[in-house]
Amino acid sequence: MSFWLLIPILLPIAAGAALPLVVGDNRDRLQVYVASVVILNTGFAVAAAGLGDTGFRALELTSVINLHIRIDDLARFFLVLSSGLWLLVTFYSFGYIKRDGRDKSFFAFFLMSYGAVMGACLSGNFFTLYLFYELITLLAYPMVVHSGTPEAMKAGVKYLMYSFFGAALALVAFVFVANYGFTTDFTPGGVLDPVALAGNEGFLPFVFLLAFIGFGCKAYIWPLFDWVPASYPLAPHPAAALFSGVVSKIAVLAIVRTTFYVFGVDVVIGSWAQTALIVITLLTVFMGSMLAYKEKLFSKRLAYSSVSQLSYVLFGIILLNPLAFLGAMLHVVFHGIIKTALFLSAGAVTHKTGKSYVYELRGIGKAMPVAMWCFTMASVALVGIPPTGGFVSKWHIATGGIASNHPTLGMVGAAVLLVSALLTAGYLVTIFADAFFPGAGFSYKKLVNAESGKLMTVPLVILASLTLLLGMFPGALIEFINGISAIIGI
Amino acid sequence: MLPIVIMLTLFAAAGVIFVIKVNVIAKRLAIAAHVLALALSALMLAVTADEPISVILGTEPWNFYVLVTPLDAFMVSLFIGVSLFILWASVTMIDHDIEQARIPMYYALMCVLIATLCGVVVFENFFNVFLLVEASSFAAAGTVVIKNKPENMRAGLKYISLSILGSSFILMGIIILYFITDSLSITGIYASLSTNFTDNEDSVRNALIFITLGTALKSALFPLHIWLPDAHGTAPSPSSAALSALVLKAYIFLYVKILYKAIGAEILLNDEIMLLTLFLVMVTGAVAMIAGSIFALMQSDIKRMIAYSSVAQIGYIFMGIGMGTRLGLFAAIFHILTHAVTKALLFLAAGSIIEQTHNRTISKMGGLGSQMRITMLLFTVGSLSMIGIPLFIGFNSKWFYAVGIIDSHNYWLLGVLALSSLLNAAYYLPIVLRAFFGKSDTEDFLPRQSLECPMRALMPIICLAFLIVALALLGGPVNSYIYMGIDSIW
Repeated sequence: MSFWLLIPILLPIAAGAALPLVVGDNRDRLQVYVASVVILNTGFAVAAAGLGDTGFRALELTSVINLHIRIDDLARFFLVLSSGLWLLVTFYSFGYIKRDGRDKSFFAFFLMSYGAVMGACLSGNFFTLYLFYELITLLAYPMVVHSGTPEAMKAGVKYLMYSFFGAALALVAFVFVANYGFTTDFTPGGVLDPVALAGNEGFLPFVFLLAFIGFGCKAYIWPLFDWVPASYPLAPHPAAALFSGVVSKIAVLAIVRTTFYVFGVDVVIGSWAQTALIVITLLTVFMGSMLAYKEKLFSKRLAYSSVSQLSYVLFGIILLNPLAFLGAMLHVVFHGIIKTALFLSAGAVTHKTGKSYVYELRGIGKAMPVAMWCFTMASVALVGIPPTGGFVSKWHIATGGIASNHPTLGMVGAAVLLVSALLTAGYLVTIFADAFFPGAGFSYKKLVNAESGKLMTVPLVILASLTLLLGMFPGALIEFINGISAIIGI
Repeated sequence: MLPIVIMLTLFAAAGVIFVIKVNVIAKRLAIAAHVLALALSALMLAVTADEPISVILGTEPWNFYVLVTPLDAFMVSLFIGVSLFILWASVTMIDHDIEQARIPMYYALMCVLIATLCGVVVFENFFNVFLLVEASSFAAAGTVVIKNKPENMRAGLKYISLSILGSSFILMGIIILYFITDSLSITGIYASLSTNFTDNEDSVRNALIFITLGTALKSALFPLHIWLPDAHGTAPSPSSAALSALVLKAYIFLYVKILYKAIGAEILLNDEIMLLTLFLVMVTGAVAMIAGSIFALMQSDIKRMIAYSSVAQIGYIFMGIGMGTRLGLFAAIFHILTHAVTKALLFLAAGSIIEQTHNRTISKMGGLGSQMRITMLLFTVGSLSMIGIPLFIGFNSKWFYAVGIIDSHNYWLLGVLALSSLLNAAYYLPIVLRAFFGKSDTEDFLPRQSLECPMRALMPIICLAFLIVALALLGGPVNSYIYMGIDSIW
């Protein structure tokens, strides 16, 4: 029965590898093929989430190096989120990616990355997670450099180097855990063996820090976020949306697994690593917002915004407090949806009008009402104005910080969050304000209706309405997340 | 008699080829002899797992003494197996590299080379071993100069001179051991040292230092690698593959045998000076890992780059040996396997790229992925394995090293390991990425047609790629065989 879990992983990988053979040079056939694979696979993913807690092992090289596929509540959470977002971005990409012959390779790797992301969600031990983490790095690379320009190639190498470096840091922690743990299977409460560890406890916080920052590379933690502003503006918008909306969340999953399922709360709480990471994440929150505020290039501004927002999540995790954890996980969902919507609407604008700087967007609201309305909706949610989603998650992170074992830093954190929210408003509100109210001197005559096709607008509208809906009715989600924090014992 | 039959098979094939001098017969005979030898060595693997094979003719010290332990049998199978793939690839590749009249000579030299390398591994008497070490050096140099170009002559001369210098150092060490112990066989030296080591401490230490220096020179441990890039860079590609994948390893393996079988772990690991020697070997290995990669990064010629990468990989192996622990030694032996299959694949793939495009310059390989899709995919497999991505055997190696490092408490080496794999990525990935995602810069003068080698030429490389993945996923029995082998000599 549990072997069914392999389907959502293997189906897109196989389908992606076979794509050039199946579709030939026919774009319509390509769209039908990709759409059916993605729809089918999202169905399988949701069905897998519906299975009870189960799992299996394969390819057992050693007790540590083996493929362990397993589903539990945390996996369900990320599985449904990622597969849902992936489905929406798929249709958007059909409208966005040009029919220039390179689209085949884009969609082939698009599918294969989907499989790797599913694999990361369903991994049951450190090796499997590490394997799929590296696979995501490699399989998503072609989407980053889709344009093939020398600048994109350079940015792609930067992305690869940062990712490999981050993975290497995580690998160090992995080896450490393999040596000093009972097992490397993810176990709520941690797997470290105090007897084997005797005498080497001093290394623990350091190793934990390495793992957190290493996996944090894809969640844009300082000092490893420099690849983000370099590569996102050069990547196609749907790819940037997937990175920001889904891949960064896989990094969060990896960090949650490391923190609560490998090291365990008891090891981390009160250690210098926790203090250091609180400071680092707050620093990243502030830095990201400031950089976004200063940035004039539209998609780079959104990239910096992701840097800041992802560190909200990491801050919420490292506080090791149920309230903050709830906030962090809610923010995973909301930011996933919101940032996907933002990148997709930015993509709609750039795709149709070629405008990529924020000061070029005056009056664009009249030309592309749907895209800009969705952008506005998502922006408001990201700033955190009730009743949208962003408010609920940030509220819980802030209150969790004050209730945590570091109340002073928690207070500072709440202040930083507030300042950052103001900055967020500063860098997002100006965009849609200018777009809808270009000022008295603006001539509407030059504007022509530039709305994108249905393939691009419908996913946008769905995402925008989700931010509102989930913000107003987060009850079921909160209950589910509280269930997870009860399992991991914080 | 099994090991002797194996060697005689290869020698006999070489002799017949040398006499007949017909290209077609040379190819077939060399490959047939290798297939037979491989079958016999597989049998030997099974036999030695139960009991070592021993053949003695004459009396000590000037006798003829073969002793095959599981580890030796493993090395013999590795040599013959990889050499079979290389010869198979030679069938199509060597014709482009060397004159028709010299082709039988090439096959004869390869057979002699592999036979002598096997001899270095299986002989127990240093008198025999030394003869074979010298013979193998000449055969190896022969495969370099067979191309008959001035730079090959220069490289070959440099290679053979330094190689003989290295052998002389080893000979010094052996002579010192002979004077102390009155024995030339490894078992004899071990037995004698266990009683009279305390009277001859300094002499044994000196012997070890001489042997270490000699091995470092013959196996190109940085900074004594100066001959390697020239020899491996100019040799015909299949020869480069054999030199890099196999020849270097035989002397390293001899060194391991001297350390743990002749001197023995009890003496070696309880003597301060010898431990210091080992420590220096480890540190030099670590330096080589970084330095070799940095040199590789600076190369513009693909074969010289791969050659410098060997310098780094040899550093890995010496580092593992220098740890002086079982896990370190295991990692080193496993890396011999990893490097043998991976480097053979890389050299052969590079060889077919050069053969088809007549271009050795890395910067001119943009867009090659569309012209030589399969070859570049195979090169990608080799690159990913070198970087240490899971699913490829390079990861297993990296993993075993990391475990060995933690076990021996040299934590700083984890940093070296991480940095080194990042550097590997920095010089291997640009080739792959430029080929697949970069714009072609050869478009102007090369027709955009497929430059792929015929399938029968690619088959051996494809098999090596499968081997790299299969050993990574299903290599459990191989691992336990190596463990058993190490236990039997420790």
